[in-house]
Amino acid sequence: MISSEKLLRYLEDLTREEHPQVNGKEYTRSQVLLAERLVRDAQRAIGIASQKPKLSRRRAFIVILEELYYNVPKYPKELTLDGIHRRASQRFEYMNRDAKSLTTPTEVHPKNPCTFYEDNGYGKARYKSALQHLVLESQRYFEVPEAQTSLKLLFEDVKLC
Amino acid sequence: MSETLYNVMNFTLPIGRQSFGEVMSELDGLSPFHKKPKFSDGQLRTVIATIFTYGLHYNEVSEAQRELLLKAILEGKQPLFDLSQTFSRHLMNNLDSATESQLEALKNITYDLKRPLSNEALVDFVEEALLDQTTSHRKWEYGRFSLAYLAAHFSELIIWEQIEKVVKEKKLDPEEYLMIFGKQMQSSSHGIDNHEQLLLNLMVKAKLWPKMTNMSDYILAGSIVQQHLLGLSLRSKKLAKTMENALERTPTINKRRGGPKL
Repeated sequence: MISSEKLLRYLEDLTREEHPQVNGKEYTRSQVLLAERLVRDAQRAIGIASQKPKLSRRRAFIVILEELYYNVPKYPKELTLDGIHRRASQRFEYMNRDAKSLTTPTEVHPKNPCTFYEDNGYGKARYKSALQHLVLESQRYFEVPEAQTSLKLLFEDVKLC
Repeated sequence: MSETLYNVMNFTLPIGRQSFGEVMSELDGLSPFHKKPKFSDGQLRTVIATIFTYGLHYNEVSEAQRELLLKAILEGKQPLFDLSQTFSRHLMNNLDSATESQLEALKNITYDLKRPLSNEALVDFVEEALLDQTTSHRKWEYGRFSLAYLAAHFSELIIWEQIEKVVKEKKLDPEEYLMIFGKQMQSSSHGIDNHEQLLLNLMVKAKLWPKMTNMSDYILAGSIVQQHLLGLSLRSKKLAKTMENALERTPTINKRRGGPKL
């Protein structure tokens, strides 16, 4: 095992002299997206671009639910998470679970999150951070632009309630 | 909409380096009356780092082999899995305060460590708070960390200081040097894959010319390491040998600065 000190020295060698593009303490989402575009051909050539993107199960479910039901006030009664899982696992790569703590679409992505999480601060915080990543990185994960927009609006509501 | 800003990870904060096996033996030592042992901070981070490593790399192998892969990670049998475990420990040092309290709350749950992936709260945390970031906006940081880690790993065979000295003294042309180095790897008798050649090339570039190495290079390195870590680990001796030979055979004379053209 490489010692932490040695590793830090090697890493600092890279950061001390690094290219101005990645220098400093912050970077922007546009920088990352541009850099990703520039390497797409190289990734294709070595067979990397063809893989499904990784996304956590919870966020993958939220993307699929939002894309399918962004414009209706309620989920259909017969809707199950099994169906959502089938669609989500075709688009995204996430770990299979032995246990199933998530049971209904509403538990994953409630239609009225402020009411649903009224007495559950911990649940709301988790839901909020699940949404935040999807909103900031929406171009990466969404195929339906309307769902991208509706999720952004929903996130603004959840931040306030 | 205003531009989204992300903080560059701070790698100077201390991390633990305990192995999963060590956590298991610590918990085994508890009396049977401790039915609900609370995790210490170090134990929790070790278990999370292990699940993170499996989560980042499991799809490199077919479903039938995933159990074996998990076993190899738990038992620390492959040296390079430590790369991803160490990265995730640093990532845990760089969480926002909301995510930090989620991590804190995980200490109070009882887990089945014989089947680490059956602990849903842990797996969810790993996916939502660590993997999603590593496979999206932080992929270049993972790539940069990987190149530093691999350069340190290969330093047992390759004396970087000597090569760095020559590069500086002779002001070698990076493009020419890297092109010839690449050709030397191709002609090597060891036969290494295209993605391996590319990764070694990126590593030499970052080590010798960090100023010329950009975010795209790090993203490329990050995706290669994410998808091939097991293969890289299994073949790391071969890779080191190929790199050593290719570096030895790469001339350190600038053709453009050389004598009269023939």
